[in-house]
Amino acid sequence: MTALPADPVQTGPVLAAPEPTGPRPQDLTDIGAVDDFPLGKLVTIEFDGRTIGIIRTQGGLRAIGNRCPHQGGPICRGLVTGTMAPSAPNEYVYEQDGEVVRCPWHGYEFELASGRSVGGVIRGRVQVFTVEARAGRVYFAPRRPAQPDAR
Amino acid sequence: MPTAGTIPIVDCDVHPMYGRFEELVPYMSSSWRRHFADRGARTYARARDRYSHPNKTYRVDALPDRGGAAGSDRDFTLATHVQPFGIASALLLPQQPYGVTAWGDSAAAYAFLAANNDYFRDVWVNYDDRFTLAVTISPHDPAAAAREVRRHAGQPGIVGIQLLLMDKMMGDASFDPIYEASCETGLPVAVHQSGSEGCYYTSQAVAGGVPRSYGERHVVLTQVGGANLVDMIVNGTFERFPGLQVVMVEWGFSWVGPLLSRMDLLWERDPAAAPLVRKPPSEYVHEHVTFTTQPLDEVESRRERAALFAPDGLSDMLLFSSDYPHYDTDDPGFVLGSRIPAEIKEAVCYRNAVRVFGPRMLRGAGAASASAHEGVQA
Amino acid sequence: MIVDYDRHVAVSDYADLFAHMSQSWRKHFERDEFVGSVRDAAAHIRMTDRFGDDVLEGSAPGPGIDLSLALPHQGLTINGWADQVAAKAFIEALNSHSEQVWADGRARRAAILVTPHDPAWSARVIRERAAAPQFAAVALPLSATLMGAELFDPIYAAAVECGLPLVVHFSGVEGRYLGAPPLSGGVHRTAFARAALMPQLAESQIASLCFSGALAKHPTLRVLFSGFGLAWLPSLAWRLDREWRTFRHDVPWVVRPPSEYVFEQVWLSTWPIREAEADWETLFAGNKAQTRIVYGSHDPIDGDTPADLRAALGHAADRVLGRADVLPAAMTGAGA
Repeated sequence: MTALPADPVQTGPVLAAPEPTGPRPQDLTDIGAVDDFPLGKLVTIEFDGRTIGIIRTQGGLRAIGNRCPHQGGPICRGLVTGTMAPSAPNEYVYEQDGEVVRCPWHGYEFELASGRSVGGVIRGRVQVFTVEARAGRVYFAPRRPAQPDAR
Repeated sequence: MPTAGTIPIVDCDVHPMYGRFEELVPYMSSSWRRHFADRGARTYARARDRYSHPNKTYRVDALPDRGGAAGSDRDFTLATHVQPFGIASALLLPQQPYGVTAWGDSAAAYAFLAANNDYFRDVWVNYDDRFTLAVTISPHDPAAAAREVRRHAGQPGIVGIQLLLMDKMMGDASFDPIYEASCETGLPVAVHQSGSEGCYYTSQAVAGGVPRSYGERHVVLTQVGGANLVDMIVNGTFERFPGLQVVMVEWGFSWVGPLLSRMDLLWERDPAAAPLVRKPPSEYVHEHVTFTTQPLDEVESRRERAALFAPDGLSDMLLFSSDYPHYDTDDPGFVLGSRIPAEIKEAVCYRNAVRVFGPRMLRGAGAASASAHEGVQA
Repeated sequence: MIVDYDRHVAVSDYADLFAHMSQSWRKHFERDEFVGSVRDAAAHIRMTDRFGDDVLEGSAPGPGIDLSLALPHQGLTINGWADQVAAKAFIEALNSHSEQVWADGRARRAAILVTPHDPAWSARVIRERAAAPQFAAVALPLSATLMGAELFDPIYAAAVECGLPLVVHFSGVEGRYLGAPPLSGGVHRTAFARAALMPQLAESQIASLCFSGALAKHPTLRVLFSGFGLAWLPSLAWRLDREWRTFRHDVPWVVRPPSEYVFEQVWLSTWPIREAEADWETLFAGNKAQTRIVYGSHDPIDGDTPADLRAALGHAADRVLGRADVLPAAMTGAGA
């Protein structure tokens, strides 16, 4: 058996989320060009000794920690996908394509934007951080986003 | 990476793999080589067109850096699992043999299993003292299986037997040659799910009917463990083989207490209904059976945790296991750090395993770390 | 008030049912071998290999019982029959016998027997019989198709519409007769082994009802698993929830942890209570699981009296003995 095939690299369209306006906060660090973060690919960076997962989705940039709140599994190695919404029996309603990560251990799903557990299966969240694009560069800060649940 | 605890750990469920079939070839005759080249060798048991897993059944982070399947790289396993958690002995339960439970060809099954046993002994067990092996046998030909057990008995690092199950439950008399060999060689019988459960006429099923999905099936898969326990007790297996030790791997254990209570009550009310049972059924289980901890039930409160570990004698019956490198692993740091009660941790980590498998379970470096721990204790 | 949810009633002679059948069906059933098979059914419910024991008839409710639910267990054995058409005539005759003999619409109620092999017919029977105050529940024999299957929907809908709980009890042929639900593992030759493993049937049915969404689809459906013991419930709840957490997206219609449906819609009866005696404190005292437990004497088959419950459960027994929320509210008011 060979290693997993590399994810297809996609250069993305213009980001769905508008770029922030106003002066750039001082605590943001430049972590690369927007093109360094292919659409739909969870790219890990090391920041202050921590592994952070950065991903550019159709909905915008997301930054997550690498620790699943369940048993501490490496979330950034997980599959990025969508999920099935709560539904009537025997009906599948696929949604949130590209906005959900599945822990590679027990498969728990978390929203990339908010870190929330899909379906509320677990109380804990995956840590989420501030990440934004300005003028073709991606900036990161190891603090929670202003409104993670609204993204 | 969590730091290793000071208590040595015997991990009673680690699944190594060979990388390519070609690696097994030196361990089989040329005619078997040709047979498998011609007809292939299916190395998974579950019917994936009946119960498909939505993700990978292995942990993606367990894929070796050098390439290859999860569990196929000795050094990666040592560096990322054995070493960091202070595992003194990893009981190897090779999983590719599970596929033979879906094979009809008894001779091919034997040849494949024998090659696997020789391979893992040669390539893993002889490589590092911390790898110990349960040699795999199947029910296709019990006499051949018994011979296979005896062939490996006494070799360094061979500590047990991995018995694969098909349609017959473990109390069936056809297993007697295997149990005889087990008792004679002092190699306990370990039983792990093969994946064939609930799939075929040639395998065992859960109660009631056909669960609709992988997850629903997994809820009740534990039942097959219970069925085999009942079958051994009712058929007098432990009376015939008073030295037999059975290790139930990955069957869980929260269902055990209620089943034992029920059997004891049934036996008390009408002992003549089970004439081969000479004492309360629970006593057979306490004396002859142990259970690995993974997958540990996830309890919500201290009260529930107390309930999980409450059954009489359970602390002597539990063996720590991780199920590395499968997806539903119990991370040793997480489980041993906060989920196993402190007062039974030593027993669960290694003392019970050493009692069941014998001192041969700890070799070289593994034995040294246990001695060091004992020294600190003394 | 003491409610007994598991009072077993039976005819000692199948000829007693003929009065409830048409002449033609009676003529079909009156053959010696069928009439003689009443002895087989008597052994089934006892889960015994003993041969030749007497048939235990319908018994009167025990002393101190304020409300009892009679289960005509001979009707449950249709899950081992080959002729599922004749089975319907048989259980309808038993239903008539319940209405006339075993239940009085006051302190003594009975369960309407239906068949999993014809859900549409069963739904009609439920709607017809539910009008009579004698009936307080629907007894559904188990079949080899797990209860979560959509094909049972008409039965659940009818039960809900009529406000009746489902009662599921083993017949004793499970794991033995071809076509009846299998037990786990393989073929168990002894009644002892089958009896030991019988509770797993309830586990599988509950898992199916949860994961199929049947309990979600029928939020007022109440299901009582009777005669399967109870100590296994906490283990099952842990396992249900853990698998849901991993596989939720395969069953997205399960919108809450499965144990929540169980703790709202599923009950277990106490028989045999001594099986749970040692575990009661640790597993049930003071937690949600306790609210699921109701008293089922299992009289007259090695039954447990209220005194047996008190001996086993201590002060917790009174709450269990008085638990009436499985039955329709109007009924328990009337029965008090």
